[in-house]
Amino acid sequence: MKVKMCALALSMGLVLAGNVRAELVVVANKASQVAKLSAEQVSDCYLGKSTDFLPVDQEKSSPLRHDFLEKVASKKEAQYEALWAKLEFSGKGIRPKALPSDAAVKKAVAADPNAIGYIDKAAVDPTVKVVFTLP
Amino acid sequence: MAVSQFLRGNFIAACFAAASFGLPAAASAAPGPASDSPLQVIGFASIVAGRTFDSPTQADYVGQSTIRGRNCPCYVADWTNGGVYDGDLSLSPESRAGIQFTYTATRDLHFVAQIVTRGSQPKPSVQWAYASYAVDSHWEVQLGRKRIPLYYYSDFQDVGTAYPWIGTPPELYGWEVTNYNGASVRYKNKVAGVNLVTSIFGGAETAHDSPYYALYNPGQTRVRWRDMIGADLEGSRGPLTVRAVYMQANVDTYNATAEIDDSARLRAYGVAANLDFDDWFVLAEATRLTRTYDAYRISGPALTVGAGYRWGNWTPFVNLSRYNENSTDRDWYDPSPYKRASFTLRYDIDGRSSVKVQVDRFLDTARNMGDNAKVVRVSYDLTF
Repeated sequence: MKVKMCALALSMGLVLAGNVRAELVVVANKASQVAKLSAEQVSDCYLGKSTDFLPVDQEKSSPLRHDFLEKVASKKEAQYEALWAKLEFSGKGIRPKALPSDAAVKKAVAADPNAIGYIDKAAVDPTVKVVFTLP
Repeated sequence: MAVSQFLRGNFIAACFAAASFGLPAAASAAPGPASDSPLQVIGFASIVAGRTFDSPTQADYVGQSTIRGRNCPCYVADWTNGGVYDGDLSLSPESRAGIQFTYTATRDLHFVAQIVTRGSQPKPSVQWAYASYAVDSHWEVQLGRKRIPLYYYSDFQDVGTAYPWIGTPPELYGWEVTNYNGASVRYKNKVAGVNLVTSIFGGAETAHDSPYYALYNPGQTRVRWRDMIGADLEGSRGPLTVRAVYMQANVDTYNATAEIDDSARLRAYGVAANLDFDDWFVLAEATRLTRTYDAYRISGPALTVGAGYRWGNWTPFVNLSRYNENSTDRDWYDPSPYKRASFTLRYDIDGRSSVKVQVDRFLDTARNMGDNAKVVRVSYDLTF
């Protein structure tokens, strides 16, 4: 019985731990006139359809990147790479720069009035402002 | 033999080495919102090996016994660059590598140069060399050497990772020139939820020793597409992308050996429609090229339709294509229509490299250009 209780507690713990995920937000420069962006507007920027903002990406090792591509841009990794291969090699766009951390993204966004980037909500600080939160 | 010939004097191997050891570092300095360097260096490469198999000569075949030194039955995979497969395994017909340099002078002005080498060509060629100026977030002007945007995949038809086939369908993507020197203006905007991109372009191009004409004729053929002008419009919303294009040019062709010296008025129309869901996708494109000479007219309606399914890292893809060529005077020009069915299996190693296997069944309908052939190819594609 004790063993069963331990197993139950462990499995519940694992489930709870599994639910503790980074909350993804898109941040813009504090000076930006834009207060809010839709998922489609954000997606358009990262897929080369809009040049209204300068998107900053995260490196592949980032745990947020998979969620961002799947839930905001609605693309799989291979689709996203194929799209940017198409745009880059046809002179229709330059791939968003990929940075190694939330801190690096915040620094880049804070330095450019047109930039946007996605980071963990917990990393938001007064140097940037949130314009989109992944539901 | 074919392998060593291909690698000798060619920088595809060098590009692979650069991709592995050096250029990723340079590419990481790509210009963007947080870039340090104004120079971006990126590249692509495809190593393609292929051969025909189970392809006996048909009794009613009336065409050449060899094309570009390949024994028929044979398969022309790349008409523009003269890439032909026969029963011997070869790397040369479609293997290629390219390096692209982008120098961002200001946020609105950048310069692009792309150099491509091919197994089918003796030396590298400049595919792109242009300056691009973004007037605002909607308008862009480009001046220099670019790809003719005749088809949906024209701009990036050398970049194997960007599409599901081993190579773009030759029924459509197979003319004597692919680039032009001139200017283009592009406008993009979002209207009623539709992402629209439209451009007009104009210029000229000369191929001094056209590999395309070498498929048909002895000696060197000089082809000039002059007074080229065209426009395209592409709209996308959700999974659907639709594109239409029109282009016209005057084409002069000269070959002293084959005694060719003629001019034609070229007109081209095309539409493409792609549906791309999360897993399923459908690619369709139809074009019609017409060349009007003084004495006769040739028209070439072409169609390709394909469907694929993304299953994890695997993407099986089936494709049907046909090229219907018509001539108003068969004494002047005997048409060479053909059909093709293919199955491709792509495996994405990672986002930037993939391996593909493709089997084609090619039907030389008029039995005058290569004969019926089955082809198997394997490719390794990467971008860096």
